[in-house]
Amino acid sequence: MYVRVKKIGSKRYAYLVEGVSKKGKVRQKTLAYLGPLVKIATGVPDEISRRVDSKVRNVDWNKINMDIRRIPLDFDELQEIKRNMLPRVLIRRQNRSQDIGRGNRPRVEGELAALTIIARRGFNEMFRTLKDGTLVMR
Amino acid sequence: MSVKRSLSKTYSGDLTSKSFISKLRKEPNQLRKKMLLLGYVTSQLEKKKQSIFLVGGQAVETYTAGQFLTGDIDVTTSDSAMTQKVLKSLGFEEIGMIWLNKPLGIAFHIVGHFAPERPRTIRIGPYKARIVGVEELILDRLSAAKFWNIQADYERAKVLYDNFEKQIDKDYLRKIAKKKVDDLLLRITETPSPKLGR
Repeated sequence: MYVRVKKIGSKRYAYLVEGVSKKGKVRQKTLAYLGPLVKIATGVPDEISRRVDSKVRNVDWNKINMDIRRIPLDFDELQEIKRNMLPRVLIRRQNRSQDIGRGNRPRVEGELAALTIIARRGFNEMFRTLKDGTLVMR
Repeated sequence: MSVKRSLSKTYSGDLTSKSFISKLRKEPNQLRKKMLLLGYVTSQLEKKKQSIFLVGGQAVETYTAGQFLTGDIDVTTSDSAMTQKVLKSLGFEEIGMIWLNKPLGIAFHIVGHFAPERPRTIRIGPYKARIVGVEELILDRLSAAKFWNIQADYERAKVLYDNFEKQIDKDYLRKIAKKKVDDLLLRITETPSPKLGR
């Protein structure tokens, strides 16, 4: 049992399939539709796995999810996944270390300018830039 | 002895993953630790003709010398299976979409399989790591600011632009921005930069 991806138009869709031997030849038999690749790329959602489990027995979801994760994504798919995951990302970002001590308060006047100067000084202390643009970490 | 020479000496030779990690654990600077790790992973992948690029929040953290901290190290790679194998050999464990090394306190996130158009090289001791170019990083942050309404990403773009203004290929930046974020690019280029000095 494995995952097959079909491209229809500009989008890719995933199916759960298995190899079936017929008259000495191996054919792919589609067992279930999993959904658009961008919707399942971070793991098959519970509602889909429950629907598939009701039709297909003994699906190894760990293996299926690993198979899906190995499918290379293109840039547009990645952007769409990021957009889909945005609410979760935003919640995570609100708790990130970058906001520690500042919370959601707006920056005071001059704060960003000071930060820019500190970042520039820190970068110059840490890196030397060669003529070809290569950065050498000190 | 300079840091560079001392790093080259410390990490010289074809180190096994185990001896590399034991040396890395002694590195006190967190950013240098991450860059050395990325350099080692890059060297292992390049032996197999594969590549890996630093992108996202860690790239911003690097270009701003740690002023905008991030959590995980976002990378793109030409071969995620091989990258995962290298990470596993270095003691990383897979947790959902993240590869975590608990003793080092470092997490990798393989975000995709595309290569940046204008990557730059970072030399760190005997290693070379590849990082997304500043132009692409600025455009990525401006997109996040515009389409996801994340003000912090506008600030990151502004700081990057101000600090790398002399090195940036502005024609390239304008050309790519034209498709989506030309309005925000105009805003960061027209807002005065702070007097930086050297």
